[in-house]
Amino acid sequence: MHDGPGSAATPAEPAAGAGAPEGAPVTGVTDDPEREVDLARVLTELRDQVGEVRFVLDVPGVEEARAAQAEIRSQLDDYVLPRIRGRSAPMLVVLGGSTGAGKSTLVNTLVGSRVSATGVLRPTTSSPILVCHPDHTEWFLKGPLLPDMGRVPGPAPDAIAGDQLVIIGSDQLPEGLALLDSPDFDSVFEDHYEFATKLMAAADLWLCVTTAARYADAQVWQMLQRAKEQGATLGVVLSRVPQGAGSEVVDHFAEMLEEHGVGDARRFTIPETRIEQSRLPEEAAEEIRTWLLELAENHDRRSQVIRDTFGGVLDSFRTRVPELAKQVEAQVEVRTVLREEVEAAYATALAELDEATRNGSLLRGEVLARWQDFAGTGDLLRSLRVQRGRAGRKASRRRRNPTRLRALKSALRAGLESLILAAAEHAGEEVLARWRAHPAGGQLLAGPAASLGGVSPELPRRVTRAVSSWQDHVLELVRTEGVTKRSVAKLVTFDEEALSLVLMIGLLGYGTADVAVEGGTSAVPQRLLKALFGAESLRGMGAKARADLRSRIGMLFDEEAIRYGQALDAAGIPDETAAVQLYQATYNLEVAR
Amino acid sequence: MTTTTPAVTEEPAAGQEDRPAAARTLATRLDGLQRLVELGEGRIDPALVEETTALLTRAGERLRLSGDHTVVTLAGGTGSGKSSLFNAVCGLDLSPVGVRRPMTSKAHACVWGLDGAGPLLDWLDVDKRHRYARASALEPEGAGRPDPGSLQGLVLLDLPDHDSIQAVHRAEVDRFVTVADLLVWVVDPQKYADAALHRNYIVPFARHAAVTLIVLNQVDRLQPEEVDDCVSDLRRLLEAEGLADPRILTTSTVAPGGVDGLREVLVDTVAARRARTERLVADIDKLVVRFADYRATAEPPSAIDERRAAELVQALTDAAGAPAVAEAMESAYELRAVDYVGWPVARIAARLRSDPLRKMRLTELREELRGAFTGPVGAQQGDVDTALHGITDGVTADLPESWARAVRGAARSHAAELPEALGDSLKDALPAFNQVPRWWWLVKTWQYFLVLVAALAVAWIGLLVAYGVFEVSTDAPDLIGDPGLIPYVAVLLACVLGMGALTSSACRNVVAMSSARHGERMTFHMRERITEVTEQKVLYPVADELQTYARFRTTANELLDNTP
Repeated sequence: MHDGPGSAATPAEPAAGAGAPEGAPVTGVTDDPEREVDLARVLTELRDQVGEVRFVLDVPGVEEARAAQAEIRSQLDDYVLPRIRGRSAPMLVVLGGSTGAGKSTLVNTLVGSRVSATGVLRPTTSSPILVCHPDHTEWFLKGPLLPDMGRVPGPAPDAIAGDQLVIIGSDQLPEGLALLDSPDFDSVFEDHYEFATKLMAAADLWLCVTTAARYADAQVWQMLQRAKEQGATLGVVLSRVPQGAGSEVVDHFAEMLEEHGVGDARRFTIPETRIEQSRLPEEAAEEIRTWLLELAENHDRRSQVIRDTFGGVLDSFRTRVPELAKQVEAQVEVRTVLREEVEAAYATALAELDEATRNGSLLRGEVLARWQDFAGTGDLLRSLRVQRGRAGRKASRRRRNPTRLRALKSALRAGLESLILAAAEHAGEEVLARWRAHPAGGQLLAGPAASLGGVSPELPRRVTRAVSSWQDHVLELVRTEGVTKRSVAKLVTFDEEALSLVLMIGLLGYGTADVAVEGGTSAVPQRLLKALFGAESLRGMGAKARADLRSRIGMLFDEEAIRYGQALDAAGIPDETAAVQLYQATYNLEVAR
Repeated sequence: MTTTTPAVTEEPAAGQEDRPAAARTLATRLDGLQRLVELGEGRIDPALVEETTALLTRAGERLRLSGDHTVVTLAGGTGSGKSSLFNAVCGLDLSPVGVRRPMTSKAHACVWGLDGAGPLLDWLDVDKRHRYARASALEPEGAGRPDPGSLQGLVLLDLPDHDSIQAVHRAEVDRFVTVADLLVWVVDPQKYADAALHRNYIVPFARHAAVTLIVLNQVDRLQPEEVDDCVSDLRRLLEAEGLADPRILTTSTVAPGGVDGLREVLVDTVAARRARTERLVADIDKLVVRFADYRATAEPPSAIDERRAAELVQALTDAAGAPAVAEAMESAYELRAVDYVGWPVARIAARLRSDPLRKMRLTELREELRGAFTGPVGAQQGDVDTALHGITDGVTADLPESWARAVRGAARSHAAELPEALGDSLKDALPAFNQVPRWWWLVKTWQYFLVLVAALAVAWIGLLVAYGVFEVSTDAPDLIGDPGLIPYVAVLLACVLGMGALTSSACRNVVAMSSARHGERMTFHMRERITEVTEQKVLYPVADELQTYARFRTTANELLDNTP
C-alpha cells in the first residue's frame, strides 16, 4: 500500500503536477495575482524595515526583541517571500521534536527507505534532510526557500554536513509534498535548536514529534507555543507510547494540548515498537501517511493548509511587528532617560555651584587669607583717594604697589576655577555612576562612551578663560555702571580694579553665615560698596555680575554635557521614526491583504 | 557495568566524622573563605560575597548536622525513572511511579538509620509526609560501625523532575542539589543529551565531579551492544563539558539485579563518609575560582610613593592657602609692630591728612578692616578634591578594578573633613604671631621718651623765643632767656626727631626680619601639621586599604593554590 498513493498522485493532480516553479495560480496564497504583487512589495518593505532596526541598549526584553527581529526577518526571507514567489511549490511538512522522539525513523517510514540516519546516540540527526518528489529536487536545490542555508543533493543518508540542507528525491512522495527531517530542539547542541526554529518558521505544516516519556518537558510546550504564535499549521505526534498504559498518556497529553491552546492540532499516536532498518512497522505510521497524502493530493485541502499557514504567519505579524516597535520605543525611552540623567547631573552641579558662589564657601583658605592681607594692611583703603585732580590720581595709581591686589585677584581666580572644575568633575562622575547603575548605560560605557572621562581634557583651559573673562566683565561693570554717588564722587576717587575685587568678594558671600568672620568685619565689602555706589546701583551690578558668571558656567557645563549626548548618538540608537515606520509597515500589510 | 567507583577509604573512620586530614583541609578552606568575605565585603562584587556567605552558612549548618548521614539526591528529567530507581534501591514502593508526566512533584526521602537524621531532614526541609525510614533488623541500634554492605547512614532523596512544564519543580530541584552530599543524575537513553540537564546542572556543577554520579537508567530499552555506544557517547559529552573523569553507571529497574551497581556505589559512599566533606570542598573550589578575578598577580604596593605623597602635601598646603596665610600674618604682625615701634610723630602727621573714609562717614570701617586678620579658615573643598584626584593612580595600576575603586574610595574617605582639619591645623601654628615681644615695649617707651624730649625742646624753644627774643620778662634765667641758645636747642630737637624716625625705621627693619623669620617658622609648622593631617586622613587610610588588599590577595592565593 505504501508505494501506491505516491505514484497515483501525479495523474490525479495535474494542476499541482505541472511543476511548482512554473506556478499554478490556483495554489497561490491569495486569489488575486495583482494583490500578490502588492503584498510582495509590502512584505519586502517590511523585511527591510525590520532588518534596519538596531537594538543597541540593554533594556529588559532586548534579547527577546533581537531574537524576535531575527525571527521575523528570517521567516520573511525563508518562508513568506519564497511562498509568494513560488506559489505552487510543494507543501513543506517539517518534522520537529525532541531528541530521541523518532523523527528520522518516522521520515524513513513515510518515505519507505532509509534517507535519514537513526540510532541510539543522541542527538542523531545533525543536518536537516528534505525529501521531495524527484521532479522538485531542482526547485528545492535552487529555489528561494531558506536562502541562507547551503544545499547538498542527496542521497546522503549518513551525511554529517553541518548546516547544509540535504535534498533527496524520492518517488515515494507525491509531487505536492515535501518532508523535512529537522534536528531536535532540546539537545545540548545549540545550533540544532537554531535550525529547528528556523525550519519550523519555514514550514507549511509543522509536525511536532514527542514521546510518551517527555511530553511534559517544558521545551516541547515552548516550541508548540512558539509555532502557534508564528502562525504555523500544526500536527502533533506522540510516539513511543508504551503498550498497555497508552490510553492514559494519550488522554493526558490531549488534556495538556487543550490547556495550552493547541487542542485543535491534528493528533497521532505511534506505539513503542521494534525498529527495523530504521523504519517503523508500516501500520504504526499508516495514519500519518494517509493524512499527509490526502493533504498533498487533494488540491483544495493542500492550498487550504498553505493559505492557513501563510495567513497565520501574516496574522502573527500583526502582533509581532508592533511588539518589535514597542521595543524600539523602549530603546528610545531609555535613550531619553539616559539623556535626562546627564541633564539632571549637570543641573544639580550648576545649582550647587550657584549656591557655593553665594554662600561664601569659596571664601576659605587662600582666598580668605589673601583678602585679609589685602584689606587688613590698608591696601584696600589706599585704593581710595581723596579727589585731588586728574594728574595726582594718575601719579598715585602708578606709585601704588599692587602685589597684594594681584595676589588676591589670582587667588580668587584659582579658587573659582577649582570650584567650577570640581563641580564639573563631580557632575561627570555622577553621570558615569548613574549610567553605570543603569543596565543600558553600563553597556554604553563599555562601548561608544568608553573614552569618556569625568571631564573633557580641554575643560581646565575653558574654565580659566571663562573665569578671567568674568573678572574682566566685573571690572568693566564697575567702570561703566558703577555710577558713583554724586556726594562721594566729589570727594573720593577709587581704583576700579580693587573695587571690582571687592565686588567679587561681596558677591561670593563674604560675611554670610557660612564664613566665620570674627570681630564684626561682616559685610565690609557691601558697606564700602554701598557707600561708594549707592544701594540701587550696587544691586544692579551684583545681579549682572552674578548672571554673567552663571551663564558662563552654564555654557561650560553644556559643552561638557554634549559629550555624553554625542556618545548616545554614536551608539546608533534608533529614533522614534523607526517605530512609526514599523507601525506603518504593519498597517500597509493589512491594507495589502 | 561501566563504573568508576571511588577507592574505598584506606583508613577506616571509626566513630570519627571524616578523615581528619580532609576535615582539617575543609576547616582551613572555610576559614580562608571567611577571611576573604570579611576582607572583601563592600569591595568586591556583592553577589559573590553573598554567595560565599550563603555557602559558609550552609557549610556551618551541614557540618553541625549528622556526619553519619550522607545525603544523596536522585535528580533527572521527567520520565527518566528516578522514582522507579528510588523504589528499587529502597526495596519498597515509596515514591509514586506512573506513565503520566510529570509524576513526582515533592521530594521523597528515605533514611537508613534514623539516629540524628531528624534535624538533618528538617534542615533539608523534606515534608514529614514524604519521609521514610529503613532500619534493617540486621543492623542493631548503637553498634558502632555498620556492617559492610549496608546502607546505614544513607539519606536518599527522590527529587521532582527539572525539565517539565512545572516550574516549581525546578526550584525544588535547585534547592536540593545545593545541599546534597552526593548528586546522582538519572538519565535515560532517550534524554541523556538534553540541553536542560546539561546546561542547567552538569556544566554549573562540573567541578563537583567527585560527588557526582551519572546513572543511565532504562538500559533495558537498548540492545546490549548499544549500551556501550550510548555510555561512551555520554562520557564524551560529559568530558567535553568539563566533568573530569565522570562516574557513569547503568541501571535498569526491570532487569534482575539492575540496580546492584548503584547500590554498591551508595554503600561505598556511605561507608566512606567523605561525600559531605567532598561536596563542600567542591562548593568551595567552585567559589574560590571566582575570587581569582579580584586579586592581581602582581605584588601590591604598600603605600603611596614618596613623590606623590609630597605632591599631595604641597597641593593641600596650597589649598589651605598656607603661604597666603603666612603672608597675611606677616603683614598683620608688621602692622601691629608699627603701633609700638612706629614714630608717633609720623603717625600723628598721617592722621592729619584727609581721609576718604571720613569723608564717606565710614571711619569705623578702618578699624574693622584692621580686625580682618582672623586667621585661616579652612580650605576649599574644590581644591581639596582636585588635590586628591589621581593620587592613587600609581598604586592602583596593578590592582583589580574593584580594589582600585576601594583604594580610591579610601583616599577620599575623609575628603569632606579635610578642609576643616586643614584649617584647624593652621590655627595651631598661629600663636607665634600673637605675642608682643618685650623689646617692642622698650622701643615704645623710648619713642615716647623721645617725643617727650622733643616736646620739651619745642617748649624750650618757645620759652627762648618768648623770653629771649620778645623779652616778655627780663628776669628770666639765662637758660630760657638767651636767644643764642635757640640754634642749639633746634639742633637738639632735630636730632631727637631724627632719632625717633631712625629708631622707627631701624626697628621696622628688625620687625620685618623677625616677621619673615616668624613667617618661615609658621610655614614650616603649618607644613608639618598639614603633613600630619594628610597622613591621618589620606595616606594611612590608603595604606590600610592596600594592606587589606594584600591580606585578601594572600588568602585568595593560598586558597587558589590548593584548588585543583
